Amino acid sequence: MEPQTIGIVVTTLMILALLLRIPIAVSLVAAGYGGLVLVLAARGDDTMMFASAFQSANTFLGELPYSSTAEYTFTTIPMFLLMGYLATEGGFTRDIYATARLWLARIPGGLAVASSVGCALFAAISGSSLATAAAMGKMALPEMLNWKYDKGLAAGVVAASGTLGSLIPPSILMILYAVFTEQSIAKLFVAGVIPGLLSLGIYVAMVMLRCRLNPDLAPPVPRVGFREKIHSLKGAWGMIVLIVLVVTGLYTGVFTPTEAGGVGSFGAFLLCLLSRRIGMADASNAFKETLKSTSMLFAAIIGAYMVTTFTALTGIAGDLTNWAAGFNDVPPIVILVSLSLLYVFLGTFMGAIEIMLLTLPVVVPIIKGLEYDLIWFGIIMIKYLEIGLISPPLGINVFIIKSVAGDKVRLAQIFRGVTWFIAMDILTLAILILFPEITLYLPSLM
Amino acid sequence: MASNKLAATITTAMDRIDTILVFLAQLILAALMMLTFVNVVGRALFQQSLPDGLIVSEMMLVAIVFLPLSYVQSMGAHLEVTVFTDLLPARVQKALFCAGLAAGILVFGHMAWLGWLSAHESFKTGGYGFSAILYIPEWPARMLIPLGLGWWCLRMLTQLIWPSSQPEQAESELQLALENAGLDDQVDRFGRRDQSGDKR
Amino acid sequence: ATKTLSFALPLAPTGSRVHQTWEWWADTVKEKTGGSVEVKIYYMQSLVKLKDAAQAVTAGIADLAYMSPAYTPDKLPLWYMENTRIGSSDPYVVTEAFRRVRENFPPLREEEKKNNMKYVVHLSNGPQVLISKTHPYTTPDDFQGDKVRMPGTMAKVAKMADWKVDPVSLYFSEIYSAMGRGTIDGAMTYVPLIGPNSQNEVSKYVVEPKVGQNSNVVMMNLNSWQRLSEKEQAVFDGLRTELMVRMARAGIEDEAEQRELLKNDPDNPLIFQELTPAQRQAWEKGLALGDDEMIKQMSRWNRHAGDLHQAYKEEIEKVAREVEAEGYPWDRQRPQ
Ligand code: NA
Ligand code: NA
Repeated sequence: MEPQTIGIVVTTLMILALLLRIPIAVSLVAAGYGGLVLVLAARGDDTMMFASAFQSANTFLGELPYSSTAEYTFTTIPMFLLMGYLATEGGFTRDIYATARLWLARIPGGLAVASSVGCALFAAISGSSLATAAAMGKMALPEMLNWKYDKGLAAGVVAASGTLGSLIPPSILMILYAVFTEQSIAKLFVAGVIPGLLSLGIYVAMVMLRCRLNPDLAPPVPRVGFREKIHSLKGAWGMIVLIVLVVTGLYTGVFTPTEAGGVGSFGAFLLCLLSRRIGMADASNAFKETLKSTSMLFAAIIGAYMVTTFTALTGIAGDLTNWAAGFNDVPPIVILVSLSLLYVFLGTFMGAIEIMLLTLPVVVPIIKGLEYDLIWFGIIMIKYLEIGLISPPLGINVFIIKSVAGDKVRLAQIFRGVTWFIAMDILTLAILILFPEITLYLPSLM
Repeated sequence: MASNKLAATITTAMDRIDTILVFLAQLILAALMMLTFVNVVGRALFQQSLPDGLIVSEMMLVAIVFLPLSYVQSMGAHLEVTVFTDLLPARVQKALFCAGLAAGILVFGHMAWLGWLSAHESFKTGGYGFSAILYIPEWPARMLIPLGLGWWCLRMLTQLIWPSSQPEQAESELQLALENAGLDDQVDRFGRRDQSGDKR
Repeated sequence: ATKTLSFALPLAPTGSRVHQTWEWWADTVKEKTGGSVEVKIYYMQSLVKLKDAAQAVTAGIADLAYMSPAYTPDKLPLWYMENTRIGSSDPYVVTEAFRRVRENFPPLREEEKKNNMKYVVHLSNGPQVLISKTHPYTTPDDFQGDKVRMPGTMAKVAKMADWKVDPVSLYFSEIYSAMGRGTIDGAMTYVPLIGPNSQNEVSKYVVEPKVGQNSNVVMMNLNSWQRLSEKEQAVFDGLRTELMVRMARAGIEDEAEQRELLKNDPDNPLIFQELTPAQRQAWEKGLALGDDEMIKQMSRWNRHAGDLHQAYKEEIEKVAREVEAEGYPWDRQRPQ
């Protein structure tokens, strides 16, 4: 059997299992394990070597739970989740959302807009989309639901805006890309700023338009007087202190983006204690909820890692890339469009970092050959990968939102909610591809 | 009837053990938070970093992930896709849920066994992490993996044997909407929802 | 039918000499086996992460992998001993010395077999260097309490030698941001990695103590090896020494080229500080403690670690003298 065939069959079975309500972690690990056995067994010339294939896959499976979780950068996820849960238990997010609601009363979908902007701010603190979605998801989603926002809109806006985490610097993905292509990290970081703000602007415009046309998505707020608005600011101090603390510490180099989560959660903990807003029981509950989210999320992440390793061995990513970029005598834009389709497709079932590493060896020479700017393509690439984070069936950002939402929102609702944002991402991509100068303006000043 | 009573007894006992495991994990989560903070303060103010801070953080993360797995199962909170199965009759849904449990026991039971072999090997050699300073062995963290996974499998097994111990089936979209409508009555003048109505 | 061997490499395919040498090797294997064996390279840890590489080869997930024995000291204690804290830092000298030692050191081969591995080639990353922003670290006294990112092994040395430094543990990819914002004052790195990681944008001085070096090894899964025909195996065996020498040369030349590029970078030039013999000795004094510690630690897992180190050390001195007298082999061949 050809590895490619195995890849297609196993992936199809995996999607089927997911649809039949086999838990995501179970479906992914089973598919990854089975696929690995088949691919390894198929390496024998004529006969399938099942005995040695099982042995190999077993050794890998025994090591997988440790190697895929004992990863320093992953500590940001429970830490930012904890910050979010503590800020929620202490009522700090409730206060700032109550304030934002009054101040943004004129803006249709004001709280969704505020959440999206919050994600962009948070993206400037965190280097990863996952951490951004974790922190903002926990803080923003319950508040929006509280104010009777549409579930799909509320969950979609944080899942999608969470992807700004990799587009707005600092960004772990950008560092990897820069090392691979020997580009300046500083230039790549700066190049991400305008596309990041553009993405944000387009999200916000879409949210406002939808909420204007259909007020049921976001119940309008009765107007209040200026005095009451000023009065409402009193409640916002907690979150503002926390944000100022983390942003200042990060940009003055007191701590790294990876450490920001630990500092932020400890800051939230102190705020709660000092303001005497929560007792031991509430604090304990915040820790417990964080554990619940982290545990269910990582069970899925372990599975995703398994599937990705299996997919890497099938060689599908490389083959598809060769095919997608292999047209001769066509305008460059055709290759770009076919690459776009390729990345959106790979993004449905593979992780962002792995897609990047597996395709770059093929794609970078082609981009160089077409004489495109590698900084510009880096930003396009990040944008591609971010769509993968929210597209079904494997959308880690969506899983994160689900893990903080509990049974208040269903996975399908979130995926439905992000569809609007994926459409906006495609619009943003088209703009960035057609007008490279948007991306390259800031780096050109350096 | 007798089997239901047995199921209840076993579930209660398992819940107690989960309380202990989750409490341990809570302590470790708090320690991870403190470790990062102390490291940052030590470095910034006293030019003293904690040795092996990175390695210890990674080990703590393993505990945070694997200790609560069974607790998450008892809450019925593991991630799953129900968009399609919601359309099916309740009996079919129940059957699929049990199929998921059986598959989970198979897959993660296998992983627990292999994880045990790997942890045991690490125990025998006393190996430590990359570029360590304190030479803290990896095996205690690795042992948490077969422990957490195995315990999770037992939880799934009890749910499979005694359906009465299964978490409430997640509601259909309609029920969810109705429930939310009920909750909305508890929203106060400022739109704030009564905290007690928010939790289970 | 073609046998395709997956090869996991942490390297980025940037067109460096080291990268080209891997491509040359893969092409030559294909050519000399008449196309019956193809090596498919997975760059930048895209198949397995470097930390999991040894396990992946033992299991057979990857047929071939470049691995750092430092990640699994309990599994590859003797191979870990190819690292040195003092002595020559020349990639050719150390790899040739270890090659000779390996020929007459059965415990090393036993270790390979125990891990289900077939040795392919080993190579040196060359010496670690110190980059800094405000002043060069010409001797350990220059640390002056600075926060410096270094691997744990070096942090251990710093502690034992009582250097006045705060060793910070960070991922390699975090050096750029951390130095840019002042989280750290300096970092240990390798000359060929400074440019690709933009580290020259956030630092000013480079000090190369040129004592000791870090080495890595490429192994093949033993079952994959046994599936090859005798003729195919002979191709791998026949290419081994040439690959090793070519790698050493590529490493030396890449490093020299990068050094020149960094010195003359139009935007962010670096100052490479020349060390006096006395300054170099100041580094050696502390680093020698690291050698002792390494032997002590690896002896926990294999009692031959000390013997191996002694033989290796002697051989390094021998090869260093040969190179001093006759030059590198590639220079020797040129007059013909
Ligand atoms: Na960011
Ligand atoms: Na996806």
